[in-house]
Amino acid sequence: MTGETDMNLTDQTRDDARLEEFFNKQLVPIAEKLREEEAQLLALEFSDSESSWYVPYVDVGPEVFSFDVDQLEQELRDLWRDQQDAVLLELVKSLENLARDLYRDSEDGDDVSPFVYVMF
Amino acid sequence: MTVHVLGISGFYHDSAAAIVSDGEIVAAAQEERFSRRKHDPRFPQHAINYCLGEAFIETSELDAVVFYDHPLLTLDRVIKSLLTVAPRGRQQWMKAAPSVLGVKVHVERFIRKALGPNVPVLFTKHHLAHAASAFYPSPFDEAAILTIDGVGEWATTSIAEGSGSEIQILKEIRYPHSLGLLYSAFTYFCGFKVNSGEYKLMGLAPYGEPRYVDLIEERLLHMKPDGSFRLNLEYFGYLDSNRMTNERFSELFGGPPRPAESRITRREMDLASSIQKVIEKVLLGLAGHARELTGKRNLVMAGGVALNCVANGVLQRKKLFDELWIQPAAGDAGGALGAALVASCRYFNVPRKMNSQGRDSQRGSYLGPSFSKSEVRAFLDRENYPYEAVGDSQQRALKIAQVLSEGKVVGHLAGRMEFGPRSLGARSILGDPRRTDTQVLMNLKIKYRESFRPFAPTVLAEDCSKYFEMEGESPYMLLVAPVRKERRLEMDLSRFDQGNEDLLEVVKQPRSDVPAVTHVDYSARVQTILRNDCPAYYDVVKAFRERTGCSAIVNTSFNVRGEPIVCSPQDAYRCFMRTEMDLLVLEDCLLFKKEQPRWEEEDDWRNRYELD
Repeated sequence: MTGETDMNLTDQTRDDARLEEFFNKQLVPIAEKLREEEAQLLALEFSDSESSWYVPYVDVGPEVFSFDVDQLEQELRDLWRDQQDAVLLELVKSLENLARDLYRDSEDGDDVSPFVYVMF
Repeated sequence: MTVHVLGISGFYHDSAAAIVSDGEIVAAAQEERFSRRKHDPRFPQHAINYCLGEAFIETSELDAVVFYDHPLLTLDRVIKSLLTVAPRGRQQWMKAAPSVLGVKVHVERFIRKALGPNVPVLFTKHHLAHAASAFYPSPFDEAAILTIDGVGEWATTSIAEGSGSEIQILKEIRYPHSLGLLYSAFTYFCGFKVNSGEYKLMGLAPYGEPRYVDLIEERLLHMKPDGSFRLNLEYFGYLDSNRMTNERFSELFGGPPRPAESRITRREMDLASSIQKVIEKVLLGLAGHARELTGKRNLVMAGGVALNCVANGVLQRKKLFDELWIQPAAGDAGGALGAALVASCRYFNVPRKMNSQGRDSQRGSYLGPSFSKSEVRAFLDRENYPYEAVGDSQQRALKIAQVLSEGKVVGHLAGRMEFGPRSLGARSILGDPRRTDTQVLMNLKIKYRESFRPFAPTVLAEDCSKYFEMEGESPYMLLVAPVRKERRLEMDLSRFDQGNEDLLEVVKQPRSDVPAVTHVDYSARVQTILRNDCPAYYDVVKAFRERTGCSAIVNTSFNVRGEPIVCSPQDAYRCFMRTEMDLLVLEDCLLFKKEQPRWEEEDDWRNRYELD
């Protein structure tokens, strides 16, 4: 049991390091670049300039579809290429690698804080 | 060949499973009821097992398993959200990435691992699943559909129209602008837990004055005449931190968030009242636009915000639509049902099954497990728990009614368990609504929860209008209505109005001739019941009327604070013995507390449940 626990801790530490690295070395530079270009990925305006805040529903693919992690890389590429989010394409390979490495057979673990539930 | 579709939701909170066979809803249940872990987000293995058993099928007979959410679009939102705030947001990333990348994009693997490598796995979209859960089981051939929640993929609010088997989403409001997140932010700020404390905030609202409405509308929320809205994200923390609100929000409302479990002050009461008014206003705007946009006479709703029964009651009384139907499992658990229904109708082209009697096809939401009389007796005999078997349902109802009329509290387990967050008589704790001490007794000695929280009535449908200003039925306890004026009693709120913040002083005052189910604003969260819905429960309410002349009883969920609602007779007995309930009804068996053997546990069971 001790060995398993140690292994889990090792896995956790390694995962955390990879996630930190991805955030610092990939996400942050792209975020700064986007900011320089004044590109907006989220609509944050809070003004009277538009008559409505509804957006038309955009049908991204079929209503019912199949998806598995092997499709992740290609589907992310297609999605971001179609949305002309070309700069995001730089992240695809790393995200695919992270997804592969972070997969755990068991989903047991800490409960996720309810305060970050918007991330799900 | 029958088409069997299993829908599942999960990996965030309230995981659930539902099975639809040839378009008919066969079974649905939340995982928490089996695992005994409140809001259990894990893969719903127990709920799936139950659904397959109820449908009498093996996994090999499933035509598909459908997940209620699009992992790719969720990942898209998470990344774009982070790119908007980075280098802030690191904490969120570290917390969320293992779940989003380590679990959610692997849902297909989890399903195949659990159900076999050859099971067909499909996905749908979050708000489409909500829309399907609202429209397909409704009694309407055509309807406008409004889904409002925290967020699902990108959408936070969707307006759609349904016609026959078709659902067409027309417009949406997208993250980060979210009515659900706005309400959750106030839930958090008032010291309650996000995703479970929203009901408390709603229950607290009538104690307060809506003095912050203008401030909220000036600073936090911009609403257009067509009901669409945006939030001013400068006041919220959920984009870039692990908090729902930030310092600016605290400055706006006079100080930091209320610490959990600390004394509730006038500020929290007034905030609760204010945000409730704002939610009602936005809901009316959204519904009005849905009516204009679709031209439909009926409205159906789902999504967590649709559980705000006070706002639902306001909407119903405004009569923007002829009829209103709300999915009783309006939160994410209901997404499992919606996912199964949308795949059945839209992927397998199974014709939509509508109820031939003109009623809904949700089956009273009694979609969970039941336990036969012989199973119950076998359990009681094995454990040597004394009981009285009363086979005649009318006699049994009379005995229960007598106990209730003596001011005692009854735990009631009968028939199939409810699907959704509300107990509707199948897994309920019952009390006498006429007594002024019932609310305090049931809150403090039975439920072990906050004293201010109101209780809901179940009323015989035929007598509803004698008690409440409500037209039509409310079988799922999703509508709040005023208690009729002639039943109300004047309250002396002078001390409270002068600044005394003791809610108990208000709670203890009689407010009507059914005080235990009359909230301080003379409202009630009504469940109407017909005999067909749940015969054993209906008979109890009817017997109570025959004995007392009162057609309503108190109905609250069969659990204590922090515990999932009971599922099995074992769960029910355990909860019964841990609390000060007087009588337990397990199908046709009556168990009186005073006859039971002493209940002993090794440790304090209260420590096992995290406070909600």
